Amino acid sequence: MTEILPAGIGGLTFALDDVSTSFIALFAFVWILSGVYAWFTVPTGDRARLFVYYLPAAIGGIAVAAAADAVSFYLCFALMAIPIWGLIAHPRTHASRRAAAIYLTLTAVSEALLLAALVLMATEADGLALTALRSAVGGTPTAGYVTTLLLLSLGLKIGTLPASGILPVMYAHGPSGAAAALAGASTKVGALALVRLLPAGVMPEGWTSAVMVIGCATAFGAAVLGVLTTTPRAVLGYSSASQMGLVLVAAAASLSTPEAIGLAHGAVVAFSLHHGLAKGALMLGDDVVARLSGRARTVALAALAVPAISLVGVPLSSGFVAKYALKDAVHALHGPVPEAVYALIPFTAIGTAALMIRFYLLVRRRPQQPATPARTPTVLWAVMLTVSVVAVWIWPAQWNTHAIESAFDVGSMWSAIWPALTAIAGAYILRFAPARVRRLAGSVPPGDVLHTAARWVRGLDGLLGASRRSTRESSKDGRRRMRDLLMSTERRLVAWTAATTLFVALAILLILLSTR
Amino acid sequence: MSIAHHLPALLVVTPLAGAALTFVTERRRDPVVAVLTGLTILGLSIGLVIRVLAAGPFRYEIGSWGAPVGIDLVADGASALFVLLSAVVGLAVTVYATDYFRGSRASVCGHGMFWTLWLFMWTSLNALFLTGDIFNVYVCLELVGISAVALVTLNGGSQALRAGARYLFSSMLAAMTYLLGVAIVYSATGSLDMGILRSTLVSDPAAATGLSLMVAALLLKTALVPAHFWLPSAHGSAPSPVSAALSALVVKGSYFAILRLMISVAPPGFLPGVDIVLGVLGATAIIWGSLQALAQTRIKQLVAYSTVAQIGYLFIVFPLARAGTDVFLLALGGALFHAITHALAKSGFFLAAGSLASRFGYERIDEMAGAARSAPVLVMTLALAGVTMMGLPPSGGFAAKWMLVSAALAAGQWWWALVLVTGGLLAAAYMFRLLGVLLRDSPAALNPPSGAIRTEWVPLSLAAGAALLVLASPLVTELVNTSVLVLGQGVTP
Amino acid sequence: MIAWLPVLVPAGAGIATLLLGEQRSRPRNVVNLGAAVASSAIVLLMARAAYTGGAEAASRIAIVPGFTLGVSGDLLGLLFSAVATVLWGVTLVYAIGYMEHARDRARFFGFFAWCIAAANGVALAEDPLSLFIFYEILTLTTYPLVVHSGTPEALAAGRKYLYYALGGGAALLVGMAWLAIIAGSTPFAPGGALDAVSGRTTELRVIFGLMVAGFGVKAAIMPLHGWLPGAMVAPAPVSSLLHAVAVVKAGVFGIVRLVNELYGPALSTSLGVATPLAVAAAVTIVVASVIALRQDDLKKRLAYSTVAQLSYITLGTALCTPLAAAGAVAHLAHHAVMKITMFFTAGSLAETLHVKKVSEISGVARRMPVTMASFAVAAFALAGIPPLAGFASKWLLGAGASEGGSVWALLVYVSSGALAIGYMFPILMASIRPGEFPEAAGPESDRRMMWPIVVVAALTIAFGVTAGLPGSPAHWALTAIAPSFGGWTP
Repeated sequence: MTEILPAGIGGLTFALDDVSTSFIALFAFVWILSGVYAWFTVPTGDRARLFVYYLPAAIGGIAVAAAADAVSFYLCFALMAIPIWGLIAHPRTHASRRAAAIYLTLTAVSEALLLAALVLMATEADGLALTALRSAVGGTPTAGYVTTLLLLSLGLKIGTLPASGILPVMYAHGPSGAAAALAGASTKVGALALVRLLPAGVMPEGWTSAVMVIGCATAFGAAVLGVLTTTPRAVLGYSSASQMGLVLVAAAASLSTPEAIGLAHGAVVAFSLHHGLAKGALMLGDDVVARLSGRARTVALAALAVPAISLVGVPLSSGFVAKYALKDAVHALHGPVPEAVYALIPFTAIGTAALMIRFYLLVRRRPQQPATPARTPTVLWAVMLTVSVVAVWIWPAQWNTHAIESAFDVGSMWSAIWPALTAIAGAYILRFAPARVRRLAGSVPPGDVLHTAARWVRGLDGLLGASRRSTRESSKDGRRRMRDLLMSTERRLVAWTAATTLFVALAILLILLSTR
Repeated sequence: MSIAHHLPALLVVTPLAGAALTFVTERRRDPVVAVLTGLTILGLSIGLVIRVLAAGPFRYEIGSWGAPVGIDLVADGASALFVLLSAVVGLAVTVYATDYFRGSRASVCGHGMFWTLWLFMWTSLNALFLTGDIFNVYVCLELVGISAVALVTLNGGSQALRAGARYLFSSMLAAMTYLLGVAIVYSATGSLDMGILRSTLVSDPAAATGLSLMVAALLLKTALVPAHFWLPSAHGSAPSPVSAALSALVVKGSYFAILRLMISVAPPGFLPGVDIVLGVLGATAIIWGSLQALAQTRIKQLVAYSTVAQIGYLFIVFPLARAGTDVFLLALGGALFHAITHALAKSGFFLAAGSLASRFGYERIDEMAGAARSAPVLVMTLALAGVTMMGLPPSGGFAAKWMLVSAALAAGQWWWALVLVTGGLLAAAYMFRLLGVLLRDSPAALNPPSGAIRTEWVPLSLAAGAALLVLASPLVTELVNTSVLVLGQGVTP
Repeated sequence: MIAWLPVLVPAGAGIATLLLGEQRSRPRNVVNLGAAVASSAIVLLMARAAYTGGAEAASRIAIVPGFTLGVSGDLLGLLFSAVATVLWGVTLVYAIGYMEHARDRARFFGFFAWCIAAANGVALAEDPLSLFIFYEILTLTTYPLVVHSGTPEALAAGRKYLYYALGGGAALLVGMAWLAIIAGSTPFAPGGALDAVSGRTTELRVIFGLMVAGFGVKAAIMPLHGWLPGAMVAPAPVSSLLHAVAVVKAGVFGIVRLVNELYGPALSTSLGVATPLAVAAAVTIVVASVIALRQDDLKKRLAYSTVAQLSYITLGTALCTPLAAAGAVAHLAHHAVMKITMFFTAGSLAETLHVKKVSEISGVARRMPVTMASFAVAAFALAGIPPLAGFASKWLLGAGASEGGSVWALLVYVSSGALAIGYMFPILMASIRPGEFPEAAGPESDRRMMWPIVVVAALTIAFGVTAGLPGSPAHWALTAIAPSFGGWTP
């Protein structure tokens, strides 16, 4: 019994290991700091309305890192994901509600697929513990199903193409504190799930290659979309999708090569830590800059550049560490695809740099409207900034040793910085581009295809709702005619002549039959 | 025990005495006399049932003459069953009538002739159920017919007179045909006793012709489609207690005679093809009667056509009688069970409809909207009776339908099963059409006046009895098994 | 004899209610509530005895020749009976509040009690014929409740219900009679009771089809579901208890008995009749969920959701694996509490605020917070979010599907969960939106309507949270279904 269903709620298990400790630290820090930020920046009357969603999401979002069996994982996953719609819909505008609806739909699909995958794994495994589930699937015919389901489900969570639009949709609305939590923590749950659930080391070669290609494509494609989009937060959203594409590449490394599992998982953890903190810092920074004016604003803008360039992966930034871990993981694989991907990784940095430039320009261009309070948010943001710069370097783990060693190596420093320089040069050149080209920027609404898809669904609904013609009138008429026919026939049968004739005929019939 | 042995005679004499008494005493004592007579008959019937269950079928020779010279009464399981049925229904009708014919309808009572005629009809019915020879059947049927016609025309309206005339005409036609048949049979075989006939009938065209004529006549009496033309008007125009008795008992009487003829008297294979015709006509009756009932606008007509349909069920037994003993037992049990439950349910239905008509003036179905609120007990009665007629559990109608359907399937003649099931659905259609109107929310619905016990609770008991009759099936099965119809031969004491 | 009490006590309460008449409402309520409490106690005590491997008291009376009407207290039947009887008590409190200003209450409560008696009969019947008898009685006793308001729509809905139900009953009758002819009396036995005639494959297949058609009407398998959305015109207590719990669950219960204890999972699979049933159920789940998305009338949306959820049970049973069968039976109980919460809410909204459509629901949460919070619990449960009731049964069903290799069934289950989010969450989202309803001045609605909603929402949580523990419906279902699968132990 306890094998298939946990014995009541007491049967749910939580445990910490290397991976979960890293994630839980990240999640706890981001959710709590962002929550405090939201507390101070959201008007008093709206606070209750926000926190009634924020708290469950935070609890789920933090506990999910420690969930050790399928049911507790799913529970925390759902507990986090569902209240987020309330965070998105908080501003109560038409656009935010539309976004919340899109988010909820995609989350519902994602959860359904995740559940299917969990059930399939649980059937093969002995017990519900996540470690058991992951290893049990290997070699069974359901491994393919499970991996596909997981990739589809988590892909929706982390913004893999073509669903990259979901992240901008999530980030674009809602108060800044909430958006920071989303950017910094909730998206990383997808990464956590990749580490916890993907069958490691047991899939055929082709899977690794395919997933790497998808991740790479996402990294580039999302960057293109993000450069062309309209608001700073949307840019950050596409940037997250792009970075998560790289996470996917790292996770792919673990699929078919047992030796690479440790490196791959390390890369994922590294990336998650780096990206979560940096993105959180960017998100908060966007808001802080808007609150300040004059010299404070200039300082803030300068400070905002720090996490931005960190994402690009310049030397001495947290991105540098993460990229190194990633390169190590990919390098451990052999074959044309991994090698191609390895070569492409630096180019993804160009995309990231372009995104960051776009983000920065949008923030700087925004009209100044100082808002209060400003001091507490600034302090909180400073905390986030500091942690984001330092954490990845000082984390006790395997994955940052290589980066620490090569931190001051000239070759690695150059390979880390040339993408950024290229992007800056490109941006400068574009300033002189014709107006038509410049107008391209801003042509992609946050959410791109998702909005189109939503419109299609609405159209289909209208088609199905075509009214059925009422057949009730004609049937009533038919019944009346039937009744008249019945009664007139009976009247004729019951008349004397007909009746007696029939009776005589009946008698004769019986006689004939009996005397055959 | 000598009294037990004389029970058949007592069952015929008691209602006759009662009729005579009511003729003689003052009009206001008639109801009391009638009720007392009914109670006595009920007691005697129960006694007969016990006797038959304990000691098996037996013959009673009137005047100790003995067949073939004298007239014998035969009491077997089936007779006892029907005698008991007519006792129960008869008592209920009597009690109901004591209240029904009061006040404004005293004149309808035909100046007190109702009681005499009714008890006289009861006499003839009992005699019919206990008869042992074919001429006696004729006599009893004639007596029943005459009293029935008189009862139908009791309220004297032109419609009733026309209906009565039609009934009289068809009754006479049937009687003539039957007598012709009897004459032919007697000249061919030289005997009128059923037991003797069974052993002496051989494959003889003359005897077969005679028997066929007798069957045809009885079909007319039983109102099997297409010979049903007299029934709807007769049952529809009579006063309610009379309609109840007619639908419940009178048609069962001639049906009982057909059973005797086709199964006890005629040897197997004697009337080839006739049983198939009876089955087909029965199926037609089920469908046609139900459709007609669906089309009616007056409640009494609806009920009368429902009777036409339900009679059809009784004839499905004939094609199944040849398919082996097990099937035959099942089918016969089903038919008899159906006859009994239909009698109880239909009489309850007619009595309740009569109460509705008399209390609220409802005749047309459309007028009865919302009656569920003003006359809940009566509507409940109609509903329970309807449940039986639809053949839904836990009613006796369901048990009957189950037995007939099982018999049809076991015999491989699955088409009868289809007809039976369709009949049930059609019955549901017209019953729920009626109930739907009754349950309609109508602002004009009155609050229930204080319930008159006899006119409300008597029908309810009948209908409820039918609705729960499935619980009594062991008793019925026992009685069926001790029936001459099963044993297939005459009995000597 | 004890096994008859769950049938006789409500039946007696019904008769007493009808006799007491319209005016004496207090004695009527006392009689009904007392009968509900008594029957619930009896059923739960019987269940406890059966759980510990104790007595299964069977009592019979003879009906048609060769057959008996018999009831026995086996674990499977007692689960259904417990659900119906306990929820009857809760619904009574709700109905007393809801029907405060209605007419014909004596008729209503009387037939209501009879419905529960019939449902208990279906649950505890020990052989197919007895089950059929109570099944048909259930059809009859529900009719007056459907047409209770007496309006033309109600009468039309009642007529439609009868067409379907009696038609199904006819099919069931023919199937049962045929089976009786070839196999005699066949009391339900775990794992199947038809070993003697298992060779007559063609006949058994046709009989299976007929019986599925018969049960399928109440179990709302498409296309036999047409009566259910129309029947929503009945008062909310009727929709809640009967059309979410008693009547429809009688249909799926019939299918559960048919597949597990009459034919048996092994015979059903070998005859090849289980797969078409599974496909029909799967189609029903998906199509009904999609139709539910488009309904604006609240009760109609819940009705289509019910159609889909019922086919969860049918599909689980048709998969013929132990976990799926257990999940199906557990869902019988879980869905009952979830859906009854939702119907209670719909009724409460209609009675207190005259809100009947989803489009009118803006701002209701402010006005009726407790009610909507309970509704939210049920909605989350329906979507399959742990640790609520719906998750436990869905997990078992999904595990059963994948255990038997039917990944397609697993996908059907999870996608229907996503669709459930799609049709339930907009209601929640709309209710939280600011709307025309000011905060309530006093209690948010009639207390008799509010507390039952809280109770059943609490049950939804309780069933989910205790899902693996003995005594919970999930564990109960696993124990009850195990004998039908040979030597399988949970």
